[in-house]
Amino acid sequence: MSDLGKASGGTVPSMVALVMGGVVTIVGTVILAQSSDTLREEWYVLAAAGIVAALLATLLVAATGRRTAHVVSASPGAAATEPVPFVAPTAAGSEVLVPLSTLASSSLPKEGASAEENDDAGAAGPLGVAAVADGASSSFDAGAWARTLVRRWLEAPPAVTPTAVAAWALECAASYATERATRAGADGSGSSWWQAEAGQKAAHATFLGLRVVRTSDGLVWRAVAVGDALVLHLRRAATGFQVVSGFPYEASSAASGAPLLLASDAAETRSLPSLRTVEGPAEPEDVWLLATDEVARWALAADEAGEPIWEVLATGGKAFERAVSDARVARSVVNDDMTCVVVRASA
Amino acid sequence: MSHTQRVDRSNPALIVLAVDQSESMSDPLAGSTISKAQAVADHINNLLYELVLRSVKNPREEPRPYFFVDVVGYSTDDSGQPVVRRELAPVSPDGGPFSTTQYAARPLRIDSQPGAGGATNRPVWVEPRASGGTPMCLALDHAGRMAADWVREHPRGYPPIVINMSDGEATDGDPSVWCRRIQGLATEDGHTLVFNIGLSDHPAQPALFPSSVTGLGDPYAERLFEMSSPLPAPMIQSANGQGIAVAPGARAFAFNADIRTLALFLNVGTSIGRAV
Repeated sequence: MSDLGKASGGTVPSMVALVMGGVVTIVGTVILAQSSDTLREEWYVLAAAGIVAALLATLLVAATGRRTAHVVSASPGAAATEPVPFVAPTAAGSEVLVPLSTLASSSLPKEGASAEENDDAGAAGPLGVAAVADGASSSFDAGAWARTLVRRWLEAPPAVTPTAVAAWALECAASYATERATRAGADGSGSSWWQAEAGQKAAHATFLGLRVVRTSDGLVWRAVAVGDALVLHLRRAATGFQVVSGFPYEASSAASGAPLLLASDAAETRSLPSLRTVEGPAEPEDVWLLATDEVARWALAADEAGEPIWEVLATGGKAFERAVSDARVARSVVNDDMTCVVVRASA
Repeated sequence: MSHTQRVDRSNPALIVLAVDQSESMSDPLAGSTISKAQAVADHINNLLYELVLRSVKNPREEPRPYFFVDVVGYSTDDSGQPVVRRELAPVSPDGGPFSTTQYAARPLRIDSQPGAGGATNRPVWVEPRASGGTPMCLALDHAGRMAADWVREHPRGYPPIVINMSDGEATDGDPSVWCRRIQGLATEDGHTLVFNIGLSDHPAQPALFPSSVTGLGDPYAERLFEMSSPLPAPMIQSANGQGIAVAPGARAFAFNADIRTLALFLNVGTSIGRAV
């Protein structure tokens, strides 16, 4: 697997800028020399100035247009624990969401629980977005909050920057509050002491949102993570899927039992101390696997043991159900909601 | 690793609270105007409140039976005979402990307390009581029998938790023997945990899950500390993850401190301690 802290890219954009700068300089010099006798006589001054300008432009582009394949940001105030290279701001309007094929989208409740009791949510949109969320089991109404987050990511995906995602999370909290109030009015909840108490508590969920776009530099994937929901960037090789990188972790031992969570309470959401984003280059036909914690732990442990389960996860459906059932019997997974969404970038 | 079993309907957890109701519990708690008996009642009511709310999944469904809780009080009667009462909490018709579903439906009363965000409901299940001696061993024997039955019926579940709350020395023997017997009961997920909550009228710094009691200045409390189980690693991890500093080697012991946070350490799925 790749090192999340490893920098890559930068050379190709610099070369493009140098060539373009040179062309502009030559063309500009020729035009000016043709239009003025004085300038025709001093053509070498113009050429020298043009070359200097081109070099300056090249340096500027090289500094700001660097492509990265690793963690790029943490929200303001967070302690920087990883290299944070300078990255060109994401301008949603200058890039195009890439069509995604959904290879698998599976979500199973805990053993012994009904589908309505599933606190996980996961889905992919046809254009460049996918998300999973894991409602904290010990939190009130967490499944509804997880579903709200995933639905809103598909409906109105923000740019993947801490600021934009924070604003988006506040919109989600408002949407969820309205929905919860509507439900409370419809079913008359609030009449008992525990309904009144629990109703004042925020819902919590881990979240992983993916966005795949085409930029002037090619395909780029970006993701935001809160907690231990995971995205793995996969690429098909002759021997099967290979892991290009994982975010926000790459080892099964890193899925924690007490993850950071996104709260439905606006006051808590405003602080967002640990919002992390990632950005990396991609290729057509690349695959992303989004998973809630127990699937993530299971898949990474299987890969670490040399018995990867990428194919069954990418197949989904009955194959996924059988594999989860077998893993539960073998006690290689704990009894948790299991959600996995696998998407592939179109060529 | 032990003590990792998630608590849910298939794997509910048992908590037995053994509560000292001896005469000395009527004395005021150190640094407070309320009695130790009242403090204990508050602790139990707070713990039950947290456990019930941790069992609420959505507004349309009553709290789930994730936890079964029994509260037994111990003291002596007028003739000095040791008594273990189960009258503190409502006892289910089959004689077993009440579930969080049943506690939610059956508080003795609901007090309303003003709070920053408006009035909050404070259900009361347990009232203070204080008279007679301290037959701690008898109470621990009772708690141990309940734990033994539970372990037999739930061999793969989360191990039982026995919480002993007292301010003094047992009047019927050495309770450490009984604590060790309880700690010997185990499910596949680990040994039964014995918590001890010391209450004192001696002024001393409150302590929650300390790794030592050097300088506590209360010999009874120090004995309770020695009788307490080491906190299992998942609980320490959960506590630290929620911003509660618990050091390696911490014991399941609290001194003049509210143990409602214990409810947050129990694994009911993804913890909500650290939200963003």
